[in-house]
Amino acid sequence: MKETAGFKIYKHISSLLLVAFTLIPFGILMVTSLRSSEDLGRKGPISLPDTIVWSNYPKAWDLGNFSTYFKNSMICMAATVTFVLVLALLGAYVLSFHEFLGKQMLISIIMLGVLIPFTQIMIPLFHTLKGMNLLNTLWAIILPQTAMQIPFSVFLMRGFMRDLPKSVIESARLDGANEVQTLFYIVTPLVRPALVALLIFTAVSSWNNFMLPTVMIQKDALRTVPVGLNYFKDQHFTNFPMMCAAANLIIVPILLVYLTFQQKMIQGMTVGSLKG
Amino acid sequence: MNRRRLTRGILQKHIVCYLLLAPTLLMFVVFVLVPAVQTVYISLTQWEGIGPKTWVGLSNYKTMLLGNAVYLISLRNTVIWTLVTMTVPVAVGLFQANLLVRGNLPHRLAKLYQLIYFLPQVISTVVAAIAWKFIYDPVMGPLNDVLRVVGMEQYANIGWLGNPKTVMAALCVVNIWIHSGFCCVVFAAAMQGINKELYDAAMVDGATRNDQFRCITLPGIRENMTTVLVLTMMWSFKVFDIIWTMTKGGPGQHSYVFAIYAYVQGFSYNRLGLSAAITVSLTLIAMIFSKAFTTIRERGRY
Repeated sequence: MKETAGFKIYKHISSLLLVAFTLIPFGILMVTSLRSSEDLGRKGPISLPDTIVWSNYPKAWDLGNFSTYFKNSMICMAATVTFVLVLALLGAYVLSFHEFLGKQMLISIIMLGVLIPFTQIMIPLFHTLKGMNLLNTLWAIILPQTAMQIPFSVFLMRGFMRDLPKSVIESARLDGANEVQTLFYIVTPLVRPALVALLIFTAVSSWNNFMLPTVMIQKDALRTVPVGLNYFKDQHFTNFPMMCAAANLIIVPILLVYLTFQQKMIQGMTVGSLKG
Repeated sequence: MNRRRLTRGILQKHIVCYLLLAPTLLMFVVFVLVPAVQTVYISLTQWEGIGPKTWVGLSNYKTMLLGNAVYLISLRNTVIWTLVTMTVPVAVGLFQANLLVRGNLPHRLAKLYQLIYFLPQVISTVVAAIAWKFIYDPVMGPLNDVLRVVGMEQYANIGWLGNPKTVMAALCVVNIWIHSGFCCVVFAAAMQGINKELYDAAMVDGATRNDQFRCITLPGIRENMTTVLVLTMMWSFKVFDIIWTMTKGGPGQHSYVFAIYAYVQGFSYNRLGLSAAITVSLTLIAMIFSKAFTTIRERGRY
């Protein structure tokens, strides 16, 4: 299609405006983290620092206990991802390839879970976990987080499994494979792309989960990265450069992962809205 | 004999199914389903978190609904939040995606743009909260500085998050910042799935760019559109993170939404019955709206 000059200018300006809107907050974080408080106070936020100051980073790292937060977040993420993948595979496999009593009812009950917001379960959950003596342990994050992911992940994996040809499963059975073998040696490799997407989706949701750990964790030693950073923010809000440095400490590892696995990450995080 | 073996075989098959399903079901029932139902029960009682629950019927709902200004503020803010998220980021995403896919941008440039637009979705909300709280800061914030420079001093002394009149708008901007790129990427992926021949045929018939957008692109991504809208709606109803990390519902209670109201009542004041009632009302509204939406979607299918 022929492009008028007006359209050409419009498409570039529109794209670049959105780029600017997206990146300016990151730029502000970056510049502010590299100056001292006095420098910021004297020259105002929209200016470059006289001298680049790196010391905000080690200061934030030491004051903020971030190595503990990172460790906790890693543990929660790894455990949640493992549990969710196994449980989603098992659940989706049975619900896609088998007929049994009460199947439709179970499906509707699990699907109802997609509509249950976290607030709807937080109060009894808090007391259930207290009763199990799991409050203020990482299990108080891992278990509910896994459970809340189940409806969506079963729904997603079932969507992919139903598209597989039935003959694959039947021939596996004829060859004498039992259920577990069929699931792990035949079905799993076939739904690998969906599994990777689910893995990324779960990992990111777990890493960014904020409300659940806010409710369940009171000990500083058990805070995850978002909750720890939020606590740090409330403690040191007047020291803007150090705050921005702390935020950047959190951004950098995520940014590295994002840039390395860009397309996979985007696919994983949008999987719910494309296959629905 | 034969029939008996057959029934046993069938029974065995059912049992195997249940065994394989058991771990998934157990987790879901213990940590989601049972608590969800318990919340309904708690909403009908008075309970401080320890000690016995006293049955009070619908009195929590009465406290919540009758002459309760905070509930009305939460309702109003949740509605504003939902309307903004369902329109602005979706519209921005839609038009930008159309430019990226149909605008003859070099392929790699279009990919780079998507990579950038998606960035706010990847980072944690708390990082966004830090950046934007600084931007809005009344004393040190870059926003007021910019306003001063461009000669709009009269607006420059507002604490954007501290003023009841501006706080929701300021929060909505952050939400738009996080969400627009997500919408753009989803819509761009959907648009790439549309058959290119349709556009070629339309061009032969002399359809303008706008005609093509209206008659090919929009119907082509209809399904994704409704999915994104339903998702966005669900996210908006239960929003907590952005608002809690930026204002904690303040100033006063001017940026309260349902989730914050329920959290504060439940965990700061230990009024668990009232908190449960608030959250039940939220869940009901969310379910009714998403049901209505999916019904409309099913009906629109042809």
